[in-house]
Amino acid sequence: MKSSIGFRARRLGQIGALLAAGMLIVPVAMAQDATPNAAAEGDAIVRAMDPNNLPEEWKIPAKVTHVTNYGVHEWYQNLIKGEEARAAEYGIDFSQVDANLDLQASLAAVEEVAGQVDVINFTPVNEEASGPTITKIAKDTGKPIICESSPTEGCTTLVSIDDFAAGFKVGEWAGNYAKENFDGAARALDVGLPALTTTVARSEGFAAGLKSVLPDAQIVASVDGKGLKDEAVKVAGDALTANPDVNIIFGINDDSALGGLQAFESQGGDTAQLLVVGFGCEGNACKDALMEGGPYKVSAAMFPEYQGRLLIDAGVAAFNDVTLPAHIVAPTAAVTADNLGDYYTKGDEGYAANFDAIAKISVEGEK
Amino acid sequence: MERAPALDIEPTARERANPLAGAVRWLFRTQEGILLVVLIALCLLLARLSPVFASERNIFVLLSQMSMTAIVAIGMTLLIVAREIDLSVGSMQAFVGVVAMQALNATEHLLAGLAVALLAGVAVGLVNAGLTLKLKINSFIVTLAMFSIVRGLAYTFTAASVQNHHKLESFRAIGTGFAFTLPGIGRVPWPVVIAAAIFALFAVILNKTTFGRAVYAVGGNPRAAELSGIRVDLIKTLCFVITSVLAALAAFILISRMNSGQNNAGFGFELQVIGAVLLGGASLAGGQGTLLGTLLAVLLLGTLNNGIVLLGINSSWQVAVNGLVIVIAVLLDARRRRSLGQD
Repeated sequence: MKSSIGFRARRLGQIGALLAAGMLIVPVAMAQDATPNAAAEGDAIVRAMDPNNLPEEWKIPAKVTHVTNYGVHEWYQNLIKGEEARAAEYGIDFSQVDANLDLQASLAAVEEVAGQVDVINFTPVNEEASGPTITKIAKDTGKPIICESSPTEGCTTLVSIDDFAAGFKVGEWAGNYAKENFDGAARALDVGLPALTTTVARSEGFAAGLKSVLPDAQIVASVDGKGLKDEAVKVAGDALTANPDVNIIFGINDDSALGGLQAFESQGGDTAQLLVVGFGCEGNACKDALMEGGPYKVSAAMFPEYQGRLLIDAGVAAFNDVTLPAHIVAPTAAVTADNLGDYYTKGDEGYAANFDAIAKISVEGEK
Repeated sequence: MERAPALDIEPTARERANPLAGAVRWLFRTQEGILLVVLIALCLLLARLSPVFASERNIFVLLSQMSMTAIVAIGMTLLIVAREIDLSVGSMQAFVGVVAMQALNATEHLLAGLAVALLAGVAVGLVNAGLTLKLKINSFIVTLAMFSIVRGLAYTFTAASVQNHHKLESFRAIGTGFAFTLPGIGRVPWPVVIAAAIFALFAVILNKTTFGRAVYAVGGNPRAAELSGIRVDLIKTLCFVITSVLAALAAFILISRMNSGQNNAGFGFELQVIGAVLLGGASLAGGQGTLLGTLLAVLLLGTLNNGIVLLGINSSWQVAVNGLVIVIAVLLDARRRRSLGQD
């Protein structure tokens, strides 16, 4: 009897435990189901935001500061332009602090501005080293920190492109071009930057895209152009003498691609038998080169002005407690002389981004 | 004050009598000789390892690339022999580049662009000299400050780069064109011709003129030079200006090669130049160094960097190699000073 009571009690206990566990598990499971949905919803909210048509209950952050890592680069100058313009539409007081590749200065700047602003936009000098400080500041202040370029622990979200996917797009384009114009022969020189994971992903994406069309395509040499045009001219010059049959030059940014092209031209190479593939297309140099009709025919455009908008929009959304995904993928496209006009309009003051067209670029499957 | 080669040991009477023994001694006992031996050995090795190393195309690509370093290193040799230094020559590649390209775009005239470049060089040289000599601030500090100021000015002038809108054929030819064809050898690029002409000019100036002797005297013992009537500040000012003007000329060739003026050009260039000058036998203590040593060191470094890429070695090693060369150069300098009892 005692044992029967005991058994029943144990049985009841087990049932109770199962019910209790069930009561815990179901909401957790529901929450797990809800989190991706909420994140996807947040992603969609950010992409559709209109400063003149926000939900009534939303508040606008008074101040936003972007702590950049290398503000003198043309990418950041155009990114900041995009942020400034978008911030002005919201009536946000926007400012920029640049760390000039100094990790200590970068983290000190974030600590300094944290008490004075509502949202911090942050581009790390070194994502791993920045993680603990960013996590601490995010926890202490509760303010949204929107990261750009590289994922960093503690950030509310990351706004950046999928480097591999963008490289793949132009690699695929190059493969098709080589198929039509070089009888399928593709011997490529990669003017890369092996020190950064993002630029390595660009080179890998390019190679994968090229080989997806032409499996026999070869990356005959990979050199470190350090992302600088003068360095790219030098190392590409050496690599081209070792591999005079190169017919495709890929650069991890505009300067690397254009530097490779200059090296090719200075050696008296036949540019009719050359394809130059760039990455970024943030400045006029790339756009002018594309429109010239020379061997620079395609670039993976990253649209810095549009990313600037996304950064501000993500900050406003996070400020209003919208759940955001870990990564808001910014769009990229293989731009050529034929479609550059879809994304940029040339005026007296250079090229102006066509935001509606850029916003329509699909980022499906990109991460 | 006589100029002193790197490992300076007077030839013996037997060596004087036997020119072959003298040559062998020069090859293995002077820094220039050692550099020449190492350079020849490296060239033979690379020619064996890479089928393209000895090709006409590679040789002229290599020489073209080294020309700019050689041009600036010539000026830097004078300055280091005069016991001063200029760390701003790398930033000058950016600053002069963007300014000159803007001038070319505005005037569409090659000489106007070149004049602006050279005047910018004169201005920076005079500021470096003025601050160093009048305010008695170490040139290392002055030119380190100028390194930042000049780079900052380049950033201020343009967001990233100044593109070539003038499309002058003669401008492109300076960096990428060929001056003439040498029978049996091939077409000689303009940068190589310019560097060779400047080398010849300054070899004569340094070795055959009063100014050249004064440079060695000022660097060897400024006090003694002053007492013997040499205008030390004037000599040093000229060395600063020559270095900056040659840096400006190199920048002009660089923008022609790149076809744009880049505000991020020349990062680390000053280290390449100073490393080559020191490796060539010049002493940071002043009074020592030869243009032949500098030229051989530039050729050696350039060949090494070229070989790294030709052999498919990760080109990031070039940076490490340049740093290593500076360490070797400083060690050789210390050894030389010890041998001369200057410790």
